[in-house]
Amino acid sequence: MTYPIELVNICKSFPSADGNTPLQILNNINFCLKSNESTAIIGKSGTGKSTLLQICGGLDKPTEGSVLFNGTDISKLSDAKMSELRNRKIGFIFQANMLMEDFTALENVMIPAQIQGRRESECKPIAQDLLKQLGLEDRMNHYPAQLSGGEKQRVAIARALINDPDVILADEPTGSLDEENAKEVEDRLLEIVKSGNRTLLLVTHNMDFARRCDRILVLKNHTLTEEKASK
Amino acid sequence: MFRLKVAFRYAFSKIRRQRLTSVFICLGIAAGIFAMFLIMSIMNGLQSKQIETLRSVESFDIIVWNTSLKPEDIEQIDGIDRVFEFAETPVLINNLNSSSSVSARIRAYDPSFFDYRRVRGNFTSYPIAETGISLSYNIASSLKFLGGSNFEITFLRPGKTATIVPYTQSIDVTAYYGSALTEFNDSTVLTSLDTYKSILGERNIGLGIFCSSSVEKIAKAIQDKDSNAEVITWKQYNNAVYGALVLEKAIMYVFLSFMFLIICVNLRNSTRRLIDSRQIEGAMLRALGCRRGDIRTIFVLQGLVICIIGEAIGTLFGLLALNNMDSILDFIGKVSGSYLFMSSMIEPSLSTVEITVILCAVLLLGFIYTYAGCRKVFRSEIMEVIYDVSD
Repeated sequence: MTYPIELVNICKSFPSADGNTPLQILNNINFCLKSNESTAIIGKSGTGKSTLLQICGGLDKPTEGSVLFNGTDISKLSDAKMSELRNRKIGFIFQANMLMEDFTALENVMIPAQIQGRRESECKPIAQDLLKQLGLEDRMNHYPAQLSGGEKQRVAIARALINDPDVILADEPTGSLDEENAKEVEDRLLEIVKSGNRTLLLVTHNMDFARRCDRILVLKNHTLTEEKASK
Repeated sequence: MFRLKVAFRYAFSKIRRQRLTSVFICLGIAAGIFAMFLIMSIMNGLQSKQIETLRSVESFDIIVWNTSLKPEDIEQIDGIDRVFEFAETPVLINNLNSSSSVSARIRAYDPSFFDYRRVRGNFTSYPIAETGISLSYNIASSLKFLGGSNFEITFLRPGKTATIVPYTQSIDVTAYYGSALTEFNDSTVLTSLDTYKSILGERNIGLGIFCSSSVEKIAKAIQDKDSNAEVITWKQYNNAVYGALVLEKAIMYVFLSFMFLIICVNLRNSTRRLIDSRQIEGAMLRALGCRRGDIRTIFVLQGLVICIIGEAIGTLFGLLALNNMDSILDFIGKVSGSYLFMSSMIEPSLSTVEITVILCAVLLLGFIYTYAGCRKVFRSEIMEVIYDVSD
């Protein structure tokens, strides 16, 4: 059986400041994400949650182990194939939203589709529709500097969804938001997973948000344990 | 199309810091291009002016001595513009009032010579009077000439008992002249051909030729017509000066090369700065699924857009300055109180080939440096770049 994402014996270490003993972050991590399921990774700051998420999405490389995406080892993919995978199959939502400051909200949302080679006329209605769904119909032509934190994060969600990815990876998507905005973003993300055949893996410190997910994984002492299993 | 759009957005960024980076790079390139155009064209202009003066005042395009050919015989050759009779012989000029003397050569022209288009303007005053001689200001000064002086000229001519004997004759100074060639002014007194012939007879009379096409081909054609004639081109006649001008041109290119080197270093640093300031965007694009090649294309296009704008500004201001050199020199003169270059001395010239070579070279460098600079963006993992730059 293949899973959207499967991690096999993942280890990650960074060179230490003294250059002798490497700093171990992740040790022998194994887990798999099922389709149509939301999973939250929780843990203390600095335990490697974001690193684990980035490894899942091919933004960082593990020191050991392999990441299988629908059964394919992504470490063996060429730059072109890896880029295609990131573009078509994975939607990233970064903690700091990472919007392009030189582009409007609408243009930011269209970027992944245009990278794919789709024409602006083709992807513009989709992007507009996504932004409308996220309550940003009157902010489409605003630049990120003109948007609030919550609005930026919603634009980032729309950008992650434009190519209709199989997997959404979200790194503390509500970390920089107030309670009201955070709740709104949580609702949208969970709704997106439920409404389509998608998989959500998120890193959060927000226990309420984590509890609303199908599974909770705790990263502690460099290893992953399951706190709440899916039904 | 998407890549070009992103490149344009990056080049004309909404972010003030990024926009300033682009503007400074643009201005740097513009200043470099402007300076190169200005220096190259002024030096070209000075050289061609010097050569033109040399060819008109000193030596024509071709000089023919000892020929039986008449001017009208030579004018039949294709590519000949005008033929003038002229004469030249060494003399000693003596100011009897101040007891000063100067050895010089006396040059005689038909008065129509000074109205010829390539000669007109090369003398500061109309130098030929109907009778007498015309002194250059330099020679007049050497002879302590204060007006109303008595002059004698001494020259050699065939004698009755000896082959050559010195002959002295009093003569009037009837005009002054000046030319752009200092050496000419220091060594030459002018007179009309009629006056010359009345004093020295038909000796040392040659033909001065102005050409409208290849000097060397015409010189050969004249030699073919009269194998006994002594045919000298302006390059041969001014061999030493021409050699110096060629050397000067070589040195000019050395200076320009150094200048180009400075532009290269600045361009390299600028493109590096440009890419460094966009590292995070590069990593973001990779995270969103952009291939390395596409990101490199975006950065290269961005660099080229900035280069082209900088070049356009530099070219525009450079050409404007060249076309308004008179006003600029006058303004500098008024402000500084020093007229180092008279506007008539500089006729800046820059060929299309030179402009194209400079612009293409800068564009090529911009391309190479941006292309090479992209390596840094791809060297690290995506998140390393994002975290490094964010920190």
